[in-house]
Amino acid sequence: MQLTTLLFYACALAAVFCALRVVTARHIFHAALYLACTLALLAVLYLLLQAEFVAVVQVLVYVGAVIVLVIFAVMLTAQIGDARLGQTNRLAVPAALGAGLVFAALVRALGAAHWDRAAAAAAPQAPAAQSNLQAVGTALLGDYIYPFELTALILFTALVGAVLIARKDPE
Amino acid sequence: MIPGITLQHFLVLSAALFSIGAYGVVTRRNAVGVLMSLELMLNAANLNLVAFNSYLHAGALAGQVFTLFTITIAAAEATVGLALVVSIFRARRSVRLEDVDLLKG
Repeated sequence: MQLTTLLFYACALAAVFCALRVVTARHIFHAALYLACTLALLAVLYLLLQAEFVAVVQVLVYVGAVIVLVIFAVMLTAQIGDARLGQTNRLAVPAALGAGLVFAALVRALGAAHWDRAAAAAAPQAPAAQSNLQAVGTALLGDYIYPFELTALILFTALVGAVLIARKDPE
Repeated sequence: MIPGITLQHFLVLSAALFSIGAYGVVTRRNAVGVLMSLELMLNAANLNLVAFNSYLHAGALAGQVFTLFTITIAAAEATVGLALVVSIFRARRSVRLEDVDLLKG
């Protein structure tokens, strides 16, 4: 078994384990740390898929920024010591059944699809003339310039909205 | 590509993450926990996009660019969501979702 194959299985199993801990951990702060682990492992998987720029953005934005925000929110709201209070509601059993059913249905549908044939039919990939970073940069500022600029608007709106919602005394 | 790993492997992993996230959204009592489970589901979708891009359209970048946009929107969503949580906590001194029942008749 090659190293990358082994790495995929290790990362996939660890990601699923950490994700399970995110939804089951009794302490909400531990859940946040497990979420950081899951997101970092997903960045490794992006690297394996040769999407280097997405992997870097994943680490920067998710592990760097979103997790910090989440931990801020945990610190600002939860009484850190109240881990004794249950973190899950009484729907645990039906929700587990439902999620299991969704997973089973998805896996069943995936088994019926023939992606591999489509992958074989896909044009043989030409060796990349430029690095992934260059290619993504060119695409973002070329073909995808309008959505790219729109995300700036969305981020600005979210920033203003978050400040407006969370500030101390709205008049 | 990774030897021995097909697109199916990635799709099953992403389905597992999505189901776990869905379970978390339904069962968490803490609003921050619900937001974290939501991020799990979004990441499952992102993994799908990147995997499809690399396996079926290795020359194109649409999947990766779309993932970048999703990550941006998810960051904006997390910001506003957590601001709402902090604001709810200020008003009701609780982030438990069963305590936020103002609209329940």
